Amino acid sequence: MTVEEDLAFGPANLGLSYEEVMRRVERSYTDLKISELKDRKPFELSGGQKQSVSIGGVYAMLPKIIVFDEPTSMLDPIGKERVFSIVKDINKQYGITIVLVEHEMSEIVKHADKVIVMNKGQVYLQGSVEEVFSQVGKLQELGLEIPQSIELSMRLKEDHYIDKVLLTPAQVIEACSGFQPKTPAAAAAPAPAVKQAAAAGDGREPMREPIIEVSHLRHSYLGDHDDLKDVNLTINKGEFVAIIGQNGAGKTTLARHIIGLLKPDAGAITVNGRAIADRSVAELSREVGYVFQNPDEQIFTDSVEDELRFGPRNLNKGSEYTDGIVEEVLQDIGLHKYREVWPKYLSKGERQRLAMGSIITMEPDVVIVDEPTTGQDWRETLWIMDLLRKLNQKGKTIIIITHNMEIVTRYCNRVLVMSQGELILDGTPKEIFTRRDKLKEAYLRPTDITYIAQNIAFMPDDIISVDEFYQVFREMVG
Amino acid sequence: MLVDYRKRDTYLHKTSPKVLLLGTLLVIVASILWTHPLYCGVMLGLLVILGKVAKFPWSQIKWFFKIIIIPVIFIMIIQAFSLDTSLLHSHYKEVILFYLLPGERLGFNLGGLLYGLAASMKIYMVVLAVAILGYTVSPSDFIQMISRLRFASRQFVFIFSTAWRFIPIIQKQIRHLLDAQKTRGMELDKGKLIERVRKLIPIVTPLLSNSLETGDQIALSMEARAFGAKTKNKFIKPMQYSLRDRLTNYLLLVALVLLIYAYTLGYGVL
Repeated sequence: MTVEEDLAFGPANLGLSYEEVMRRVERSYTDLKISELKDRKPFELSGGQKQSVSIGGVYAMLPKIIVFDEPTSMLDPIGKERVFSIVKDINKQYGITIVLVEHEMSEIVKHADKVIVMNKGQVYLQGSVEEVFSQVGKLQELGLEIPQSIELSMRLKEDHYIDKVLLTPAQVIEACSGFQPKTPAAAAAPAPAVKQAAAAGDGREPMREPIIEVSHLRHSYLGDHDDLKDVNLTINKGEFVAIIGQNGAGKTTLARHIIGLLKPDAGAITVNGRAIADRSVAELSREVGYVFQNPDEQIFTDSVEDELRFGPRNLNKGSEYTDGIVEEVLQDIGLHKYREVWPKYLSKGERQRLAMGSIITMEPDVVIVDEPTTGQDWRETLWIMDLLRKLNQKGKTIIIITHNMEIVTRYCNRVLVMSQGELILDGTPKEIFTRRDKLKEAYLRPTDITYIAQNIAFMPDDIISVDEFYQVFREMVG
Repeated sequence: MLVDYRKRDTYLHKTSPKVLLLGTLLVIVASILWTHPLYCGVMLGLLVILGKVAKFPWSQIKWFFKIIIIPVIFIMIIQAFSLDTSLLHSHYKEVILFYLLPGERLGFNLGGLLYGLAASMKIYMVVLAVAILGYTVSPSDFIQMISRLRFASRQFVFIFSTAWRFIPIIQKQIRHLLDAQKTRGMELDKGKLIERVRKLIPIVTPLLSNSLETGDQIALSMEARAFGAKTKNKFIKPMQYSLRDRLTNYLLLVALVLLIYAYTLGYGVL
């Protein structure tokens, strides 16, 4: 079954004629901009592409109410924007009521008419966006993400720069643009504080000793086009690297080559100075750990503890070592109470932690985590990312594949940007997020705080955190 | 499925599925009737040419041809030593190439060898024909074809289409679970056969639970997309049936009749 046929499934079940079904299908893939996928098979698509197709399938049915359950959790930033704009369009144009279940607060503030906050099966807060987001303390209590625009405007309000909390980046830009920098010269160059903060993460300088070297890597799944095109890169020991890019850009394909799950059509990869071509995945797993995008694809034993023991046992690490590391990791991932529990009974966040724990117990030098925070709430996201930071502080090299630009700026000291199988940018978060043209090419956009700074004439382009914005703003405006 | 369907702009892809199905049937009938390796060889050659025309992804089926090569050689050798040559009409049945045991016992018969060769070629013929069919006809066209049949109830079409959708999902789940084991230090390709099979046991439970979960999700998502809302599904894709298809269809029907008739005259028989 192709994507086109999948989109036709719902309307066809409604008993519509062939012509009407095809008219709706065409509108669906045109509006969602997935025309190029119509002849592909849904199960072959990347996670984000699948999500677009599933939205298209429901959209083609034109119901009166559509419930979206985290429709964009696996999409790249521009893809997210596009989906939200489609959702908004179908709401306004066709009068379809939209119920959106979402963790991304920054999108909610831009689009929702009414917000309902749930906690432990009950309605905790409800009202307009303004009413709900004015109760920031209560939201923080629940561990919910506070959009950067709101966080910043709260700080500005506290110091009386503005008189009320603003919700969207557009409102913050408008308010801040009304201020004048103290001197015209101040506007010309980035503030010293900005220059000093060259890297995100915890500020430690990684070693300059290569651990992974990729040269002239090429790969094609179907043989008709290259999914990876001549990728060259070196990752050093102790780096915390983010690989970002649009859905289908080749991020996971690259990662699966590094662990040996895919074999290159051309080019070579070395890990710790040794070529991996003739080494099995199992052998490589001593040095490179890989956490799958979907934890359910990775977890297969009957209990949490067994899952953690599986790797060290295969690597013949010995029972004393295994007992010790399993206990340590059970504490680290916060699942010590559930050691006997069947992993299927855990929540998604807990399963993600377990999947990571099952790799950590093998103590590889490099840990690659594919989409570590997809579908997780903000509290769980920070939990997982802090765990990775701890590993990084112990000297492990961390590579994450993500669409969440905020965690990139908070945790990573290096960013690789992929687009259509090519590595198009490589640098620190500050360097990367100023390259607006290239980011657009890769269907990416910076975080809201960077976007706000870039749209205020006197602010530097490379602001990546609320703290930094606020500090620079105060120095400039006085 | 050996080779998945791919939408391509080739002569075979543009041909009506009905015609391609008839062509496959012709190959299957030939493989049942023929015992002569020359005939099988010509048919195999024709299939290879058709595969080239359809831009068939040979690399995807290579593994299958490789793994059956040993049983195929085995069949040929067994037939050469043990075939009841009275079944053959050709003079080759008289030709003994060598004897395995002294005293002219256990002769290696050329007729038996050729018979075994034809039998092996027939395996390749059928596999290749079915693979080309699967590669050139979209599953939904198959389903549409079935739904046009008078005997095909909605339930039948549903079971057929769901099972078809399920196969790649299960294949993917197996692949992921095996990959997960490898990334956790499990050497799946090392050890004796029994050991390797034993290593697969841990994936049975998750595969079963994941499959049940997937089945449940598919049922839910089908229901959410109005499956069963209307008893009559009017979405019948117009089947393209050009003059060329019609002519090819007649040609194949004539070929099928001729093939059977020629067989009764002894053509294709060793």
